[in-house]
Amino acid sequence: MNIPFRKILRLLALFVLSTCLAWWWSSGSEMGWTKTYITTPATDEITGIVYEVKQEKFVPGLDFLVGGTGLSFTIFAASFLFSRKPHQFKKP
Amino acid sequence: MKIRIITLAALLATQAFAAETAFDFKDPKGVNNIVFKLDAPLESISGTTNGISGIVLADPANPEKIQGKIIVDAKSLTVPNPMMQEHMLGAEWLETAKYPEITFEIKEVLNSKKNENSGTADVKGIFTLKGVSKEVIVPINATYLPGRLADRTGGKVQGDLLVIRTNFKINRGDYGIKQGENLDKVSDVIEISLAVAGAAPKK
Repeated sequence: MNIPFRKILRLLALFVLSTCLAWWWSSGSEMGWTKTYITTPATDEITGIVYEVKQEKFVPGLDFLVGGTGLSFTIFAASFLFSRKPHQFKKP
Repeated sequence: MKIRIITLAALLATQAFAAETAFDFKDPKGVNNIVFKLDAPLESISGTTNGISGIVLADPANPEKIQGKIIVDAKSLTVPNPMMQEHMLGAEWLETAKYPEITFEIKEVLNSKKNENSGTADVKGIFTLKGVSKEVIVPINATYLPGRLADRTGGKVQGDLLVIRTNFKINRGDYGIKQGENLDKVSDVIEISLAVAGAAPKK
């Protein structure tokens, strides 16, 4: 099988874009910045104070989506630098 | 005669402050917290801190008599995005290396209303942020919980608790934090919600 490098780059661009989009969407479509922790409210039984319990979790935000889309387009643009046909090695 | 007068004055002074109890707001359980919110047109920022300490002298029977200081370790302020946090604590914004503390010093209690073990009041104090001190009046809700420290410490330490809650707003520009800049992304108004419990162990 002889796949042109141009095609490989375009498939990679599609993979990066779809992975970023799927990750962002499946993590709750965070419309703000990427978070490295989430908080859940808890109440102290004695004082009644409501406080936030932190839990480490990577939640991709819009910046992650924009970065992934940018990377995908860069890879796609780079694919134009390569020829349409597979490289043919000439026999001497 | 002179000695008698001095002795009497000292006795009266002692009695006047006898009911004041020192409440320590450094909470080993990490429940004491401050939430800060900035809601700008393009961006909403929300963060928290548990780095709270300070001593408040209070007489539960006389809410007008309250004095002390709440101190926040500026480096303990956190937001969920690491890059945003780095910027917030950095030289351009809070400059925490130079100004490591945010403080509120109680000066006067106004309009206090007492209802058994709880009450409300307007507390006039000096709020200091990034080295700039300004007088502010914050509405507080205080609850005195006599003997409840033991419940919080599993019976190890006997004593009382004082819970203070407040919500107030400040303008970052007033404290020299990029006045008039980046207003579309970082609101000038900072909404602060504080909920803290101070412990007064009995000796």
